[in-house]
Amino acid sequence: MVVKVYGPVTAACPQRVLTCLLEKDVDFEIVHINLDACDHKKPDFLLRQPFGQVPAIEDADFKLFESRAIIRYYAAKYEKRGPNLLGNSLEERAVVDQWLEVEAHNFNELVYNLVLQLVILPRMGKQGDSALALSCQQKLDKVFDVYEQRLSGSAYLAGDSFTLADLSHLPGIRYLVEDAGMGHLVSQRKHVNAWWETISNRPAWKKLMKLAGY
Amino acid sequence: MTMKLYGLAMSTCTSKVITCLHEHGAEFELVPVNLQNGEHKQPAFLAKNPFGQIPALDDGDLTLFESRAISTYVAEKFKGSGCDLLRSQNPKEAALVKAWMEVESQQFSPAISSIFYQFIIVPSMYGGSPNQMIIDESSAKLGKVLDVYEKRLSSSKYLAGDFYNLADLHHLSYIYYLMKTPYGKLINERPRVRAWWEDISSRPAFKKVAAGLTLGDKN
Repeated sequence: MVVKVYGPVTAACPQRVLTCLLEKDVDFEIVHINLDACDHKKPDFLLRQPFGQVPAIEDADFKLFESRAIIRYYAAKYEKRGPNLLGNSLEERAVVDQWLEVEAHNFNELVYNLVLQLVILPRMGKQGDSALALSCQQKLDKVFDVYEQRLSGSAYLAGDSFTLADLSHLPGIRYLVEDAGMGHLVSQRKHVNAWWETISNRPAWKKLMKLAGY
Repeated sequence: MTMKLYGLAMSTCTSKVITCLHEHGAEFELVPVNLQNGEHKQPAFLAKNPFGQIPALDDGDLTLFESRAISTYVAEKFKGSGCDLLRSQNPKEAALVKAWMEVESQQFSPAISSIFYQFIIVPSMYGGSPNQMIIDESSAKLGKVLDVYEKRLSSSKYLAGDFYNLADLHHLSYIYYLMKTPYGKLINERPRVRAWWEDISSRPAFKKVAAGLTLGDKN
């Protein structure tokens, strides 16, 4: 039985989960959720995810939501299969966790708001808030400075191997680079750029890009 | 070597970690960081947390930042001590704990922290006036999140199951501060959320920490 992933393949949070499943070679089925039609706010979806957000997964009789919890679950469930996305020792795992928290708290909200103002609202025919977008960009600049420093001493965020901490950034950075015209935040930083080139050329991510029709 | 936790007892993020340490009876030294003097933005602290935020932990060769990563590390390291906040022996239970930890982090804290910042921090630390529009917006958001909790807690004693876990613990300090404001009604108006709050806040580990949550107190 395959893992069912509920959500559009083009949305960032489902992409986080799908990338992890592809890295681990876990069979899945995408159950499309039409966000424009507000399918995610309807009663039957709220039974899966009471906050009305994508993604949610169903794996036989096990159900889970929150993309970062889902990737942690599958990285642990299939620890011995494919790349080790979690780290080996307790200390390594803690550092992976730390950078996953950084993505969630210091990075994600800035990217989300920037993309909302510059890409999503205009696509819906609405006016984006350019002052908010600028503020997010300035803060994101400072966050990327920290990443540049980190990646000058370490091939990946948590150490010498690709882990969930790097994986979790893929969807957001793709939006910044491809849709929001913010590629310079990455390309102007030698180590961040090299890291992005490496992680975005991984076969699993490339497979997802094909699935998403990019 | 004793673990060193850099931060402040009154901080919601630092106290999250302190509560977890107390639950496990783990020894540590709290090293205060002088935020008013900008110590958290100085090179010595930035070497521990390049984002210049408290808390940070030194444990031998390991330095960690991000409170939820630190508390998870503590819970893993000391899980043999009779306390099982992560349910790591049961992958599905462990996954539910992580899911509700994400809920606290992504849904709950952004809403409650705005109320806390406007109502408590702005007047006490900056001598300013709370922005009522932000408070009202955030209260509405928090109310919707707590409605989900109310429903969840009708079929589960704690958020991730019938066992106290790290997801519940992560809520403690912010709710404690909320209860000092008129917005504590958001908790009190929901009987199951209220009962859950009374349960988790009566744990001895948290009672030790609550004494230090003094932000906004008039002395």
